[in-house]
Formats: sequence, structure tokens, C-alpha cells
Amino acid sequence: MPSATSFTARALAARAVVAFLTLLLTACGDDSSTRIDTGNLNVTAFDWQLPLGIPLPVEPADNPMTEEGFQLGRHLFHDTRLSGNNTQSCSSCHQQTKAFTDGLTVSVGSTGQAHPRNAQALVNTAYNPTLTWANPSLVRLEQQILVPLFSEDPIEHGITDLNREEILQRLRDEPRYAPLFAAAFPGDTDPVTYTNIVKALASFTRGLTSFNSAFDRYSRGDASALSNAAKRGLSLFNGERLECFHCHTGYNFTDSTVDRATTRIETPFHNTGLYNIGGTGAFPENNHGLFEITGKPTDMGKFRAPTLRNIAKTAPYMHDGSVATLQDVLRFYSAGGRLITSGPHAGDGRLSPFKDDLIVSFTISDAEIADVIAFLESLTDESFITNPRFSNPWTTTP
Amino acid sequence: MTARLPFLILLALPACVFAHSADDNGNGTQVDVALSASWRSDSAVPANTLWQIPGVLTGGHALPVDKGLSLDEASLTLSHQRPDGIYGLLKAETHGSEDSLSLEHAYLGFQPRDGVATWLRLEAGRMNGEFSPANREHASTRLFSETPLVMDAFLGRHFVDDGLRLVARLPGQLSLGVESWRGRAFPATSGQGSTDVFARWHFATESWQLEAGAFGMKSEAEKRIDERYSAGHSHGGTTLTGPDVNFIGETLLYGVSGRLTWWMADEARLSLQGEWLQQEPDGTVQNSSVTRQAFFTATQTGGYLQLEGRWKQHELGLRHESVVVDNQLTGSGAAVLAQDIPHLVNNGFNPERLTLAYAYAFRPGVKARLEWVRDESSATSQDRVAVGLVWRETLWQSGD
Repeated sequence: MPSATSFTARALAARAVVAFLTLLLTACGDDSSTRIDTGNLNVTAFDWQLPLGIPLPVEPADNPMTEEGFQLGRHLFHDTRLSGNNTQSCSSCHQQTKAFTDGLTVSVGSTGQAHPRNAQALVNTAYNPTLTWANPSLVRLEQQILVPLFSEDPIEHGITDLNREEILQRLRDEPRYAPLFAAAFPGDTDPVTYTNIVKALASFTRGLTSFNSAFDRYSRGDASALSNAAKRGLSLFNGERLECFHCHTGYNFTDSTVDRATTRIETPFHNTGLYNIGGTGAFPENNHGLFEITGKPTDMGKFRAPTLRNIAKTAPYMHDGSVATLQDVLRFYSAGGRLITSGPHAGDGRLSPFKDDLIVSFTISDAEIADVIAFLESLTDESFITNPRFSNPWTTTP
Repeated sequence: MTARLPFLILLALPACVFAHSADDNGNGTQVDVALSASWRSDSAVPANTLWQIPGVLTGGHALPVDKGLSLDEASLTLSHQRPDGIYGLLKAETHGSEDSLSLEHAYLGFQPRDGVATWLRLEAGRMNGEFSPANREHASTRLFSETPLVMDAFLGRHFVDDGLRLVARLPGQLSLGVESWRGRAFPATSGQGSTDVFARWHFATESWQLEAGAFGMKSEAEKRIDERYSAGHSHGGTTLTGPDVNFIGETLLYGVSGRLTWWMADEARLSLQGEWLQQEPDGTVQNSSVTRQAFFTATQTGGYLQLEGRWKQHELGLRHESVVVDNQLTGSGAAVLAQDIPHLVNNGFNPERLTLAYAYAFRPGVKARLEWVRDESSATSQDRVAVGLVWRETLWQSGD
């Protein structure tokens, strides 16, 4: 007959087994799950018209994107009345047909004063962590736009303390602006202010997105969207011989990109060996690049790598427009820098002490140059160039 | 799940260790050898494929089994026990898909033979964690050649680290222990460390034996990567690289274990053994350039239950294993990281495995093993057969 001890042991053992089995079987009954909570990653009041896979840009908290702000900005962008002498609009230097550049070596302001720099294409600027060619402190469009509007050296729009109220009155006198300003800034009793003008211009500029090139269609599965030459060019672009992808990478073809999913913002600047005046590594006066801001000798000649989207429309190239064509650009990089044999800027950029380590020479044939250019041309987004949504509203019937 | 844990701990109280330690040798020096080799009809994953348990940040040494003949485990152990209670153990071992022999264990221990502290045991050095019975088993000591899935998922196959262990044997066959580790072992990282506490209880009658245990562990990790594939591990002849992701944060791990054995006769026994673990990672996952990151929290549970019977030289066993995950990725980078780490996103799939094993000890210390495995631990279900040999022997033993 079983003893009390063995009975207790069996009972305890049975309870343990039942408990254990219950635990395991219960665990097996649940289904695995993974929840992804992106917070406000996809929250926006604006129709960005972005294809799948392109993350949303960052919207500043004090100037969230709205259609009303975008449309007001579009009107202001193309309006020459937003200048001291009524001759200069943003679109004077940023023309839609040229992917919002002007086709000049360097831009010219309202009074005829030349800018030291080539106009940057306003393509996907919403994704730029820094604005202009070489200023790491200009991180918002709302900051950068103040420069062309109010700059005195060089004069661009030429808005000064003497004419600022007069300019605002021009806008108030334009019947089309009253409803636009009211819609963009509801609740403001007098919305026609420079703060709101800058915000609206920033909204319009921020909304200039371009992701519908032939390359994009190829990336989304249309194998016929790229020519064979462009496909060969793509392979060369991403290959270890040319290594273009090191600085022109990602969905915006630049290593200087930020979006809502970015955690650590990187703001790289590069010296590509364009100048090496007197062998000192120097760049021409008033065009020292990042050095102008930081004062660090090693920052001499460093500039931001711009997007290559629509690059075929934005000649001439480089920060000072000193390289005329895409063929010249490729020959410049294949040489590992530029040799200037005479003149005030003489020097061998290939030997610049401040040149980026990524800029090394490579061999490339004429046929391969043509292939790479075919690929770069495939980055042209015709819908961006012709989109009526971005066009000059003053030349079309409202 | 967490609410059930205290209740179940009350039912399944701590028990004693299953596996071998130098303490078992008695005085003197001993050299032991163990070897397990298996031929398998298929690999766990196709060649040139990463093995990722869906929903889990797998790592450590959790490599998949290969098709064909492979060495599950080979080890050589040197142990020495002194009359004053000091003992030491050195163990060189290789296992699985690893290509090199490593010093797996190298530790000193002390358990007083007389005096007031005979109930205390202190060990320090490189050793495996005593908190989990499965962690102390190897292909040569258990009926099944493959490590339990939950051990691969939560502990990177096995937990071996440099550390310190203090065990107190209390009245009533209850043992309590605490271990502190340097952090070489997954899920921790070097310099961050792990700490665990465990309890075991052992109860036996003439024909019944119950061993139960429970533990809790906390590990810290700093930029923990999947080391299985980050150093160019060659699996199938091609260097594989894991996803660009690392984990920063802490991991809490709890477990309960139990083994009930019924000695039906002198040479016949039946045992039911199992272990259930719950892992709670809480931290950040990010890419190496830290341009994308998201908060990662999860409650992941897993376990195994195996029924074994032994009669004379014959052993037969059936083991069922499963893992269930409940993960959450939070933050603006969550969606992008989910694309970069697709195996971390698991909705509706519970990795499971069922193994039927038979072993025949045709010589003392040598047995042949035959297994059938239904492997549903990844999206592709697979059946494979394994035939293996196991050899365990004391090569040399001396006494003082």
C-alpha cells in the first residue's frame, strides 16, 4: 500500500507536471507579433506626391507644410515685386525649365552684382541637412531664404530697411495675395509680413520634390525605362573604379541627406581638387568653401555634394560654375582633380593637400563617359521640369 | 505570461543540477573526452543563407546544422580535485560549425570539506552558467544532438563567460546561487556584463525524482552585433554578412525548468523534462552609422518539453520546442529598420521544432543515435534525418 510520503511526492510531482505543461502549452497558443510604431513619421497635412519608398522630409514645427502655404510661396517665388527694384524674383536665378537653376556660371543679382557661386538647383531641398554650398549653420530653408532677400554683398533681391515697407505694400495692393495670405496664415490680422513671406517661400521650395525620372521608373520595375547605355553607366557609377556613389548616394544621389527617419544627421563637405593655388591648397578669394565658416585650414575648398537629380539640366557645374559640361566633369574626376597651368588660379588640384581621399584618378574611355552621361541624363524628371504645380502663376490665368 | 510566473514557481520549486562538475570527480586528476558527430540529410537553411529565428535578434554561437557529416561537439576536459576542497577544470572544446578549438572552461572552485561552510561552493573563471540545465548539456550528454531552439534564440546556443559563482546548498535539498559575468557571452557585450540568480530543488523517493529550478538574469549590451556573421563566417563556402544592425540596452531573462523521472525498474526509467524561458529586451536597435534607430522592446517566450524513456541500452525520446515573440519597434526609424532587419518582423509565425530520437549504447560510453526532425523554426518547413555517434569516456583518472 502506498505510503503517505510517496503519495505526497506523487501529488506534488503531478501538480508540477500540470503546471509546467500548462505553461508550455499556453505559450504555444499565442501567435507571434511585431508592432511598428513610427509616431509622426507619416503624419502630414501636405500632399507631398512622393512615390512609395521615399521617406517624408522633416517639416519644421513652426512651419508645417500646407497646400495654402505652398501656393502662397509659389506666387511669391515667381514675383519680381519681391525685390528692391521690381526686377528680381526667386525664379530669376531658379528657373523651372533648368531644374530651378539659371544656366549661368554664377548668378547675377537685381543690381547686376555677380554672386560668387553658381545657383544651386532647387531639387529636393527638403532633404538637405544644410543649405547653400558650404554653410553648415544654415540648416533650415527659413534661415537660408533670408540671405537672398536681404543680402548686401552681393545684392540679390535688394530688400533693405529703406524699401522693405514699400515692398510689403506692393504685395498688399495685389488683389490675388489677400486670399492667399489669409488662407496660409488664418488668424493673422495682418498676414503680409516678412516672417510669413519667408515661411511661404520655404514651404514652396520644400515642396519641390522630384522622384519620377527614368531611373526611378527603372528602379520600380520598368526594365525598359533605361537604355542599355544608361544601364552600363549605372554600373560604372556604382562601381569601384569611378566610385561616384561614395558622395552621390542614396535616394537623392547625395551623401548629404536627411529625412524623418534619420537619427544622426550627417553633413559632409568635400574638396574635390578643383583648385590648388600656388600649391598651397587655396581656393580663389571669397570662395573658400567651408573654411569661410569654420576657419579650419583643412576645410579649405570643401563644398556640399549636391543632388545629381536633373543634373543634365543644371549646367554649368561645381560651386562656381567653372566646369561647363558633364563630359568635363567626368574628365575632371578621372584626372583626380584639375590642373590650371596659368593665371591667378594656377595650381595642380590633383595634388591639393586638402583634397578628399575619395578623389583618386581613374581610367575611363570615351564610350564609358558617354554611358555615364546617359545614366546621368536618366535622372532627369521631365514631370518636375514641366509640372504646372510649380510654374509661374503670374503668366497663367488663375 | 509574466503574471503566471510566480504562480508556477510556487509549483515547480528549485532543484539540483543535471550535469557534470569537477566536484563529482572526487580527489585526484581526471581526463575526460566527449565526442558527438552526426550525418544529416539536410541543412537547417540552404547554403549561403543566414539562419535567423524569426522575430529574434539571434547571435552568439547559434549556427545552423549543416547537411552531411559534421562534428556536433568534441571536448577534452582536465579536472583536478584536492583534498582541501579546491578544484580546477580546463576544457577545450569545439562544436557545431566552428572551425577552431577554444578554451571553453577554465575555472577554479572551492567547496570546504569541513568546518562551518561546507554548504558553500565558490567558483571563478571561464565556465558555463549554471542557471539553466539546458545550458550545461551538450550534444554528447543529451539524447538529442541539436541544442534546444530556445537556447539558440535567447542565449546564442550556450552561455559561457568569465565570471564568479557562489552556490549555497540549504536544507531540504534547496540550492541558491548567484553568478556575475564579464559580458563575453550573448546577450551581453564585453564590459557590460550579466548577473543572474538561480534556485534549484531536488526531491527523490525510491522510484521518483523531481528536479526543478528557476532563475532570473539581467544582461547589458552596448552595440551588440550578430557576431555569427559579422566576421565573415563561412557557411557553405561563401562569406555571409548579417544585417547592419546593433542593439543597445538591457535584456531580462527568466526561466523555470523541471525534470520528473520515474524509475520503473532497475534498468528502465521514464522522464519528462522541460524548460520555459521568457526574454525581455529593452533598448535601441540602430544601424552602424547611427543614421537610423528605433526603440525595441519585446516579450519573447520559448521552451521545450521532452519525454524520454530508457530501457537497458535503449533510449527513445520526443521533444517539442517553440518560440513566441511579441515585439515592438518604436520611432521614426522603425519602419526603415524593419526593412533592414526583416527577420525581426514576425507576425503570426511561431518557430517550432519536433524531434524524435533513438539511441543505442552498443558499448560502454559509446552509442549510436538516430533522429528525425521536423524543423519549422523558419518560414520553410523541413524534415531531416540524422545519424550519429556519441563517445564519452574517462581516459585517465588518478587518486591522491
